[in-house]
Amino acid sequence: MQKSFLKKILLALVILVFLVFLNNYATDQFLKKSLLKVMRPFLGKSYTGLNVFRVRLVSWFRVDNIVLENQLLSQQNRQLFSKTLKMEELEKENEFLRKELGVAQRRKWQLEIASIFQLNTSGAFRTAFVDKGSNQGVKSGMAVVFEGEILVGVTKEVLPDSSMILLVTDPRLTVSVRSKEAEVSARAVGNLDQGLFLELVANQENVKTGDLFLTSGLDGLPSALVVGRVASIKSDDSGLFKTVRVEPEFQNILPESVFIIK
Amino acid sequence: MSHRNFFILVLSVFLFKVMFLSAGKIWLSVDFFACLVLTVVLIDKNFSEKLFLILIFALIFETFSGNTFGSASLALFFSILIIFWVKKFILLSDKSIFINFLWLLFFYSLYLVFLSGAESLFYSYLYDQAVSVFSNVLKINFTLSNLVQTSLLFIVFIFLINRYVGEKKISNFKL
Repeated sequence: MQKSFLKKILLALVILVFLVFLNNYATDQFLKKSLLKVMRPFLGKSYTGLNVFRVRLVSWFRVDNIVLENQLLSQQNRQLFSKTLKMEELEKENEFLRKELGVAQRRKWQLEIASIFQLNTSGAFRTAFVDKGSNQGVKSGMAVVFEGEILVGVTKEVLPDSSMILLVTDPRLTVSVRSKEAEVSARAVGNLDQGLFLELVANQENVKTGDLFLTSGLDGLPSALVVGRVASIKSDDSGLFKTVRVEPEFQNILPESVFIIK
Repeated sequence: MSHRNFFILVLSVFLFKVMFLSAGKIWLSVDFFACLVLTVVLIDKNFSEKLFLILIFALIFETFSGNTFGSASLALFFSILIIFWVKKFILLSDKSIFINFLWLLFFYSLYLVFLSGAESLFYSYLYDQAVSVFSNVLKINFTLSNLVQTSLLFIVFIFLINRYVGEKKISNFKL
């Protein structure tokens, strides 16, 4: 009886190894592509539908807060409008000065809008699947952002009509970052529910809670994308480096659509 | 446990993970499918009948779990193999719920080690990237919050599966 159990387990393992080899090395992700193709419409509809339901449910319980928030946002909107007018004038002046100085203009990004159809919020990894792939010109290693240039993650596995994004909290992703205020450079590693941890921040370096960290551009990603704010700092007197935890900006406001920077 | 009940449990886990947690943006570290399978394999005496069903479900979950294809399934099947060897020498299904719970925590830790190893192997090979996946994944997953989440989930699954395993088949034959 037990021998037949063992035979079954070993047979299952052999089949599994064969399927993994077939998918990963022989057929360019044929199994994964097919499964995603079948499940995508259903997952996309359920993800969008449930998101709408969640927003309605939350807003139903928070009507008072929303009215106040609306008033505050209207006020901020008016202030921003006056600032935009000033900015336009400053932009013209800046353009003129750039031409005068011969400084190259900042590279204009080509953006591809993509819809998230599945978000992996549990388990050992943090990923999202979007409905754009190699057919739309998406490649591995492209930065994924949304409004306000907030970094969501980096494309990793690109299939013809869909791509898998490693979110910035995924433990496999490391991003080169720098602080806006203190000019500290570090390496940010995803830490699942705890956000990100900064590596290589020396004890002497000046980092405060609330400091904003941006991409440095040293690892091939566009520079100055918002990664997150410092949530906590632990200094060890006997050690060389601080333990800095960063709360990612994207986590609480992850929308249904994102932009892939080509 | 019947195939039907197992299928309902897996389907519930899939819908909960892929739809409810995903759309609700509820962030948890625990791997729902792995916990379910490990509990079934440990408690259910007839788990070998469900082995190929587990294989199919593992591949479906694999597609949406975010790891490189194959790493979670291989880690799960290596853990099942270890459970089989342990069960061969110690009759675990007859032990108390608490002993089974402790064994499950051990097997889940083992699964995480296998998962980190397989992921590190596939990731570095497929993407040619020297990232310390193994140490990163292990370091992050062995935390107190993860242990609490895993423990709670195992308690729920042990009670659910014990209930289904204990079910008696009533014959249609009338005296």
